[in-house]
Order: sequence, then structure tokens, then C-alpha cells
Amino acid sequence: MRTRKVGDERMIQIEDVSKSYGGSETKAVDGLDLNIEDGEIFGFLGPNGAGKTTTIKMMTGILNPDSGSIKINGYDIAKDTIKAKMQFGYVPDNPDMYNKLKGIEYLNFMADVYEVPLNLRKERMTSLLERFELSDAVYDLLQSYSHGMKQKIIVIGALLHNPSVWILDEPMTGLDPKSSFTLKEMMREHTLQGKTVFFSTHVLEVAEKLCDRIGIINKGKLIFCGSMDEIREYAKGDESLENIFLEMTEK
Amino acid sequence: MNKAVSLFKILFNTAYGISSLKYKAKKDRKEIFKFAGIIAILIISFSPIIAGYSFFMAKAYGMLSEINGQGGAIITLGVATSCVIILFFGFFYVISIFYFTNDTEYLVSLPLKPSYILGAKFSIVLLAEYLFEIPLVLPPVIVYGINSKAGVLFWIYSVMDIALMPLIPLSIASILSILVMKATNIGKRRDLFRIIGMIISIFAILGVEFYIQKMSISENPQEIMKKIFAENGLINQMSSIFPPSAWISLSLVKSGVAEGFLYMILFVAASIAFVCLFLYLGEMLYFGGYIGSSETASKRKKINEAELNGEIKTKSKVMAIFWREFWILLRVPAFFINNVLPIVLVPSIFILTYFFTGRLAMNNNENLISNVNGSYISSIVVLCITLFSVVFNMTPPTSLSREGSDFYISKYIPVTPKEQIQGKMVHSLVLMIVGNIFCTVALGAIAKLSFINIFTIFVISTLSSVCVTEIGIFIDVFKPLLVWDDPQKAVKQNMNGLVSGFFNLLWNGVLIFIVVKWLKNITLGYLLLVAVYAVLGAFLYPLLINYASRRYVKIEP
Repeated sequence: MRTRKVGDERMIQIEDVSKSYGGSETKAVDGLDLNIEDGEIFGFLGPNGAGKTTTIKMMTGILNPDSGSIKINGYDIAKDTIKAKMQFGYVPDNPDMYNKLKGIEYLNFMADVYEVPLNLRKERMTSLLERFELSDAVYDLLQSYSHGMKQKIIVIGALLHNPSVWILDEPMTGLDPKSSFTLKEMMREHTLQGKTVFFSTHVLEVAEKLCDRIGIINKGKLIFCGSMDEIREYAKGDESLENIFLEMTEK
Repeated sequence: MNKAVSLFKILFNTAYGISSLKYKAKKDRKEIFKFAGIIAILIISFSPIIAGYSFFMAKAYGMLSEINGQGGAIITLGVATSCVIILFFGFFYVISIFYFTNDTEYLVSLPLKPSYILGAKFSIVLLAEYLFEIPLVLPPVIVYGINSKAGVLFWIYSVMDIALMPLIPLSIASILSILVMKATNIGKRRDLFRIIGMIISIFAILGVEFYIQKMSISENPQEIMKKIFAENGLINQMSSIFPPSAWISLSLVKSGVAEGFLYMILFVAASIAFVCLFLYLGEMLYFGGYIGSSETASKRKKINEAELNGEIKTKSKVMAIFWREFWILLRVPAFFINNVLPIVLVPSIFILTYFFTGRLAMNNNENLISNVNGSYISSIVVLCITLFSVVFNMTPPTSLSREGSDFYISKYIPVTPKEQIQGKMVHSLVLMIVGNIFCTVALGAIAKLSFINIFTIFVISTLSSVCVTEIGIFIDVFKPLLVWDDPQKAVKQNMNGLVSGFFNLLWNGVLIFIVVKWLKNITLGYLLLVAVYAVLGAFLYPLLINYASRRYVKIEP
């Protein structure tokens, strides 16, 4: 059921979400509350095993939360599943998928499932392939792509339906500097249209330069959420994000 | 040698998931009961088949003993069948394990001799083959042993025979696979060459089989009778499909005398020789056939916008799923071999049988179809063979399992479980319908059935395919095998395929039995089958969709 109203600015709304695996008492995500607004680039930071990917998998419907609710652009991922999924484009942390499909078959598949009309998909595919310099490889099997090329084709597939929300799990991993720059540029352009980018990263520099707000998760709990200024104020000093991050996550 | 043993241990552990099972059992006691439950269900499901087979063997023993005391031929029957199955299916199995598993790339980079890698991988396949061999060979051995009041030597020899029996057929399959892979490891289109090479090899195996049989079967009925009534004549006749099976049978039948011991020695020596030959050839050719085989040719072809636009097409979500399944099944060798190839192989075996040995067997059939009842029986036989290839089509019961680690994509794309299942159903049905056309046309033509008869059998088998597809997907949705490192595991080592195959065989068999037993009229028989399959298909469809819609949400990759 869609509950987003005019003036309600939350593009992603995560309420009291918890998740543990296989009946374990340790919670991978513990009582997470997070609201991300329109036009915002949100960086999700945390050490390995902190709960970033679990959170993202719950946001995209891959995993079911044990409790709590997640809404994407007003649609509940558990109740209004298909509409909620139409709101976002997702880039997983591992681009090793559908190795036996050709690039063009993969893109057509993604455009079909996201119901992209023919003229729009032609326009977007052509421009995105050009922008990521993949036009020459589109007839080859994904198996023959390098890690970075796979990452790029998956990014293209996720953006074909021009989603309101981009959910990217470690998107810069494996990208060459030029592609990484292009992606960052595209994230900015996307938010200028009033849309939202949610991405997890280990690269603190990227988060520092790119994000409007960041969230830091550790041992399943959100330990900080705010802008760069707010985090420095929180840390009471002019420390680098790296030091603040280390201090917070080593507690 | 230590390296080979430790390699075997590691491969055994990963192939059969031993550590994973221990971990699960340690973490949650329920897992032990779940595992034991699955084993118990499998044993209970197979028991009637094994019991029926044993009963048949006991009957056959009684009958054959009256022909010059040739009860030992039941052992040959079990052994020869088992050896041919191992040779035939082992060929695809060893190719997958030797060349297409993900671990091979790492193993090749380790300081290990090719024969160590091959030996360890061969042992893994060997263990799996016992699962096919023992149910086929043990019942006739026990029936013979008890009825002939065999001595201790018989039982000792039988344990040795059973343990060594798969070695020769599996070594032949391995040698053939090494030669094919070495010969086809060339050029840019290796995958295509290899599939063609495998198809040619399998037809070559069939050709040699039939040739040996043809040579040993005389067309003169008097000659045949003379040979059969000679001492152990039946054993010699039956073992013609796989000659070493005569040595195994004779070592057991004559276990009480020195001749039995000599046959045992002959069999053991031949087994060792075949394994050594395989390892020797492997040492020389394995790396040459493997290295470079995972290279994928890329065109990196500069294309213009018009060309690209020509390739961009829209499809419904259901058809998008269909095409994804279609391309992946066609391009992953293990999927192609286990799901697509059998469709062509089943009718091919019958066509070859017809051309090589057909004159004798089929002459009787011509007499059969000269009256209505005969035509009825021929039609039912054609239908049964077609349905056999339908129920053992691995595509539906591995529909979800084949997605493996990519299944998470199916969870985040905006496609309902209903649409995903529909796409998978269409995909399985297209394959089965192609198979049904092949089967009914080829077999119908051999049995000289009328066009309308062939068409009706096609319609019935296709309606049955719908039910079999629904049941197969149901089983896979219930417990998909999503964690695998080798595509072979998703299809060949997936219990869902076995459970679905035997369950579908059982109910289809009962249905056909009822029709043959109670309805003597072909039209009535056909009408009943059409009605039952149509009603069942329509009844199962909403159940499947409903169940899948609930289950998809719960499956967490």
C-alpha cells in the first residue's frame, strides 16, 4: 500500500528493522531506523560484517526482515512488493552473474522486467553503453568481461528504467578511475533530478566527497547518521573521517 | 601418493557436502532428523521398485534354471545393464567433473600431476556410480546366491565384483572424454566443437554396442537356439552388450571351481589395465585438453546505433524469464548435456536399434499391428517410451536449482513468482514438446502407426508433460538446491530430479497400467488419458502458483 503523501520527504523509510540468520541470537541488523530524503546521496559505512549488505538485501526484497518495515518511495517492500521493486535500481556487490548471457541479452532482460518501452530503452541503452564505453562488448558473453566491465553492465541494467532510487552495494569496487568518475558524476546528476542514491562503501574518501549524509553501522546497529559537518561536530574536532570512523567502530 | 589421497579427501568432502552437513548438524540438531528423513523417504520410495525387480529376478531365475541350469544369466542381465548405464551416463558425468567444475582451474595451478587430479576426480564419480550399480546388481546376486546355495567364495567374489565392476566402463568413458576434450580444445568455438564431439562420441558408443550385438546375434533361429542351450549360452548371449560382464557372471557362477577363480583374476586384471591405461593417457593429454578450455572468445565488435537498435526488442516479463532460461540452459554444458541432449538421445537409441538389430525385433511388430489389439499395444509402447523421456526430463525439477547463486536476482527484480513460474513452465514445456515430437514421430514411424495415432500419442504425452512439469517445479520450489559450485550438481546430483522422476514414473505407470488392464478399446483408452491429464494439469496449476507465491518470499539465497 502506498502511503507517501505530498510533503512527505522520505524516499527510503526503514523502521525498526532487525534480522538474524538461521535462528542465531546474534542480530546482523538490530533495530535499524533510517530515513533518506529526496535528492540525497546517502553513504552507508561500516566495517566488514557490520550489516551493510544485509540491510541492502532487505531493502531490495532479497532477504526478509524478522521485524520492522521498509518503504521505497512510499511502497512497502513486503506488502506492495512489485511496485516497491519498480522504484529502485540495484547494483549488487558481486557482479559475477548470468555469465552465459550476452551483454545485449542481459540488458534486454532487465529492460523487459522493468517494463521499459522500446523507444526509451533504445535511447538509454545507447547513451549508457556509450558513456561507460561498453558498446563494443555488447554482443559478447558476460563471461568474457573483466570484473570492471561486468560491474558497468550491471550498473547500466539497473539504470535503464530510470529509477527513483539507486541502491548500490560497493559500486566502485573494480571500476577503473574513469568509470568510477562517470558513476559519481551520474549519481550527482541523478540527485539533481530530486532522486535518491543509497550506496555502501569502504572507501571513506568517496563518502566524504560525494555524500550529503552518511550512516555508520557497526555490529548491526546504526551508530551515527548525519552530514559531514554533523559528524565532525559529533567527534568534537577537525579529525579526518577515517579517524572518526575508526574511533566509532572500535568501541 | 599422499597428495592424491589428500586431494581425494578434499574433493570427497566438497562433492558430498560432508563439512557442511557436520556444521549444520552441530548448529541445529533438527538438521540430522531432516537429513535422515530425506534418506528414509528415498529408501521408502525406491523399495517397491527394488522389491519388484528382485521378484522379477527370482521368477527369471526359476525359469532360466530350467534351460540347462542357466539361472546365472540373471546376474549377467543385472551386470550388463549396469555396465552399459555406467558407460553411457558416466561419459557425460566424467566430462563434467574432469573439465567443467569450478575447482579444476585451481587444481591445475597446484603442483599436482594430472593423473592425481584425474584419479581423485575419477574416485568421486566412482562412488556416485555405486548408487546406480548396487540396486541393479545386488538383487540378482542375492537371488542367485540363495537359490543356488552358493558357498563362501561366491559371496567373497561378489563383493569384489561389485566393488570393481564400474572400473572398466568408467575407464572407457574417461578415456573417451579425455580424447574428445583434447581433440576439441581448438579454435574460438570450443563449446560448440565439444558439444558436437560429445554427440558424436555417444553415437559412436551406441554404434559399437549395436555392432557387437549384431555380430553375436545370428539371424538363423536354429543357430540362436543352439547357442542359448549350450552351457552358459545365455550368459554369453546377454553379455554381448558388454563383454566383461560375462567374466563377472562366470566368476560367480563357477565360484566353486578353479575356473571361477581364473575368471575373477581375468576380470581384476582387465579392470586394473583399463584404469592404468586411463591414467596413462590422462597424464599425457589432460592438461592439453583442459588448459585454455575456459577461455571465452570475445568479438569486441564495433557496432553502430542502427545495429544495436535492431537487437533491442521488447518482451513480456514471462517471455523475458523464458529466454533467460533458454539461453542459459543451452550455453552451460552441464545443463545442455543433462537437459537437452536426452531429448534427442531417447528416440535416437530406438532408431539405431531399428537399423542395427531391427529386422528381427520389428518383424514381430508388423504382425502385431495387423489387428486392432496389436496396434493398441504398439501405440501404448510408443506412448510409454515417450512418457519415460518426459518423466525423466530434468528441466522442471531443476528450474530453481539451476539459478544457483544467481537466484537472488529473481528476488529483487519486479517479476511476480507467478510470472517467474510461468516463464519456467513455458521453457520446460517447449523442450518437452520438441522431445515428444521427436519420440512420437520416430517411434510411430518404426512401429508403422497411423498419422492420427501418432498425433494422439503426441497430444497425450504433451498433456502429461504439463502435469509432470507442474509436479517437477513444485518439488524444486519446495527445496531448491541453490548452493553449488559446479552446474553439474544442480542437475545431475540434485535429488529433486530423482524424486520427481520416480514419483512421476510411478503415477504415470499406474495410470497406463489401469488403462491397459481395463480398457481394451484404443479410443476409450486415449479419451481416458486425455481427460485425466487435462483435469490433473488444470487442477495442479493454481496449486503450484499459489504455493510458489508463498515459497518465493521465504527462500533466502
